Amino acid sequence: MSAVLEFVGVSKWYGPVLGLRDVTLQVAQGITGLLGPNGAGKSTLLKCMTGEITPSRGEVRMFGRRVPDPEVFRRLGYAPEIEVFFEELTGREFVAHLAELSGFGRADADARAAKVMQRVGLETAMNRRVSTYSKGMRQRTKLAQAILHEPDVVLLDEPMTGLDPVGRAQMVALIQSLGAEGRTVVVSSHILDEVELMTREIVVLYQGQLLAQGDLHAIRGLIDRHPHHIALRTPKPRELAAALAREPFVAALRFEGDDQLMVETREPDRCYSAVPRLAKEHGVPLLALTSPDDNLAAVFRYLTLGARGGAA
Amino acid sequence: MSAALSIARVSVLRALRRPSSWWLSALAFLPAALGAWLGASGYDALSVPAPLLVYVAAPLLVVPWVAGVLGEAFERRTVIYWFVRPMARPTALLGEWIGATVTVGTVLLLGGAMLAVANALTGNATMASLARLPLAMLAEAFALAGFSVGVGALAPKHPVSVAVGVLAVTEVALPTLWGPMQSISLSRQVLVLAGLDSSAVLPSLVGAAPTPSLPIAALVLAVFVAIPMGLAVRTVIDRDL
Repeated sequence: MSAVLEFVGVSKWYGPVLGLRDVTLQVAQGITGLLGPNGAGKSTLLKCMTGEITPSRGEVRMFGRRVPDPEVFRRLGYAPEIEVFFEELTGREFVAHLAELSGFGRADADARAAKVMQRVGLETAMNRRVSTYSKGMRQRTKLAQAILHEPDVVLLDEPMTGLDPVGRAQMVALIQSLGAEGRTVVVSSHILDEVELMTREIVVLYQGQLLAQGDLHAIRGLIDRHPHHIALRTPKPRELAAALAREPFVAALRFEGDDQLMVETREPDRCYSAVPRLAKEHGVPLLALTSPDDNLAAVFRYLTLGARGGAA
Repeated sequence: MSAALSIARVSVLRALRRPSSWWLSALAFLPAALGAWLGASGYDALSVPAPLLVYVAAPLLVVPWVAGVLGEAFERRTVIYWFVRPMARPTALLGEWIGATVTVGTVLLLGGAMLAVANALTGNATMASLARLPLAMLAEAFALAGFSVGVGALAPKHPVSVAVGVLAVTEVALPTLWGPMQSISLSRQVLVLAGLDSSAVLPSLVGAAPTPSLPIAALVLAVFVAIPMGLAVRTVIDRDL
């Protein structure tokens, strides 16, 4: 699939502080999670995409056009991380105003505003002033103004901040629906579980550097020097450990409690297929097979540790 | 142009809903009240109230109203909602300028009209003077709004301080130090447009400079706006937010 968004050798300095370092990446259609701890350069990357800031070096392209470009802005929706609006306006007025700036007539803009506020779940609050909105309502308003013109690309900077669990679930569903509609959605977050709920396509940033990009499992492959952990829950962990100890793909075994065996392997695929077979052959009931590594937290931890180690 | 008008309309709406706008507006009517009182007491209704309106009340009204609000929009980055729309960034400045001119222009027009009426009630005024003072105040609103938009965009961290500082230099410090420098004073040009006898209202200041013609006064107002606006347009096009 061709790239919708493209960074070519992008660096950004804020005076002596490096915001981005020689980032080259491509983002294709679908949902992409932009991951990294606070200060990793996620917002800087998004700001380069919107033309909010100009790269010190390199270039950003969207639909083949160099950003910023009015034609790009017609197809771009952006929810920044700031939580302030024009506080004197109602949510509907705010969104309708931005719809007008996107090129819609006044009546059309107002109708679109009402519709999109309904979509983000603010139909009962849209005629209230924004100054009365909670954090969660502000996040939804930001999303509403980002999608009101049905853009091809939606950039969301920390959209989950301030949301309660129900709000988070709704936001995830909204973002997933945007992806399902064929849009390119880039979601930044420093909370790994959040992104994992939305997509497996991730970009990992650390200290302004691109650490990794791709499918979660593909990225996991990049870090194969780190052993993969698989937790097995069984009432007979010692019997299962004895069977596994003879297998060449097992790097280490560790008992955790009375009913859990932790396997370290450098060949997770072989291990995943062998474990159920061995359990069956040795008559060991296997109650659960999970991998604490198979989530973004582990991948992110490994990658950032690697970067720190490399720098040291 | 429709984007600028949309921004202007929202600017007016926001101003109407800010309590501070109403408090600031009261400033424009204090000179008129003073003029009415002086006129009723048998004094000249204009000699003190008119310069008070032009030199003091108008800048105190317009600068926080316009430069303060726009500076805050840059500082808090709410301008980003505009800047990721398919329009040129300077459109936002134009829209804010139009909106500010409508709001502060209305207030100053009314303030000037009330003062003109107060003066007319003394029996000393002509019909022409009834119209010229309000229209001159409208021109001052237009120029100060443009100046404030420019300063708000150029110095968003401290827009009010910077604007007041610039006005203190152009309106007071330089003309006081050297009479001919009154030719760069915005307020002086407004008094000329209002048809007021400058030497009568500010003898200590304006006596040293000849009264400019109406076209020259209008030109000075235009330059007063063009410099900060020009710099601001250039800055917002290139600036990182």
